[in-house]
Amino acid sequence: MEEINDTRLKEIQELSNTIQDLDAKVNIEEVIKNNVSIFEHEKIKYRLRKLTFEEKLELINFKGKKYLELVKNKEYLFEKEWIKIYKEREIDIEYKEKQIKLLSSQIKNWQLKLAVVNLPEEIKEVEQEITELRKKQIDYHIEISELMKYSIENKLNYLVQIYTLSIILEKQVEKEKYERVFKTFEELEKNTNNDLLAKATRIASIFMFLPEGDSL
Amino acid sequence: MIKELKKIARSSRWISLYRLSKEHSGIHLFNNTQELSDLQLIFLNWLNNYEEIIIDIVNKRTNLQIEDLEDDLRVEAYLYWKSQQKNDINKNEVKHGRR
Repeated sequence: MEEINDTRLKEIQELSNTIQDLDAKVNIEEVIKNNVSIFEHEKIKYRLRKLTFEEKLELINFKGKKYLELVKNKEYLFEKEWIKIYKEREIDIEYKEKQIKLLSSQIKNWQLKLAVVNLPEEIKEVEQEITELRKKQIDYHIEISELMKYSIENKLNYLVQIYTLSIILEKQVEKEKYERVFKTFEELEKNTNNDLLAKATRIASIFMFLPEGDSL
Repeated sequence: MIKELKKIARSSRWISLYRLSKEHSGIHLFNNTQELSDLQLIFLNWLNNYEEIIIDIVNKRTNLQIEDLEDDLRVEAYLYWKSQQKNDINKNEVKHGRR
C-alpha cells in the first residue's frame, strides 16, 4: 500500500508541476470570460470549450447507457462491494472515511481559532496545524481513490470524462475556425495520440470542462 | 488553479467590475450571460466573498487587513467563522421566536 501511495504521490507531484506550468502558459482570465482554452500541441492549435446545453443532454444519455452496461457486467463492482472485499483483506475504507470527517472537523475548529488570533506567531502556529491536518486528509483521499479506481462509479466517471473530451476538443483548421478532433467517441477510443489526450484532459480538468462524479 | 483564480478575483479591477455589474444591468462580467460554467460560478463566489470581506475590513468588523486577502488560510478561516456567527444568530432568533 505504501508503495502504491508513493507512486501515486509522485504522479500527483508531476501533475501539480504540469498544472503550474500550464498556469503560466494559459491565460486563466480569458478562460473565465470566454469558457474557451486554447493550447498548442506539436505546433497545432487546439481548443477546449464548455459543453452546450444540448451536449449535456447527449452526455446524460451516454451516461445512462454506459451505467446499464457496467451494472450488467458482473466483472465490475460497486464501491460498496469493493469496501466489503477490502475489509476481508483487513483494509478498512470506512475507517479511512471516518478519519477524513474527523480531520475535517478538527480543521474547522482550528479555522475558528485562526479567525480570531492576532499575533503573527499565533497565526503561523495555527496555520501550520491546519496545513498538517489537510495533508493528512489528502493522503487519505489519495489512498481511497487508489483503492476505488476499478469501481463502477469510477469507471463511469472516467467514461463520461472521455466522452466529454471527444465533444469539446477541437483543432484549428483556419484562423478563426475550429473543428472537432474526434467526430465520434469511438474515434477517440481508437486514437493513438496519447500525448495530446493527456494534455487535453489535464487542461480540461483544470478548467472544470469535464463533469465530476454526480455533477450531471 | 483555484489559487490563481482567487488572485484574479481579489484584484481591484475585478472587484470594481463586480460592483458595477451589480448596479448596472448593462455591464457583464463574462461573454456569456446565461449557462455559466462551474469555473465562472466558483469565480463569482470568490468575487462575492472578497467583496464582503473588503466591506468588513472597511467597517472594522474584522481584524483582517487588505494585505491579508492574499493569505488563503486566513480568508477561508474568516469566512467559516462568519458563517458560524450567522448560524448562531439564526438559531437564537428561532429560539426566541423572532422568525
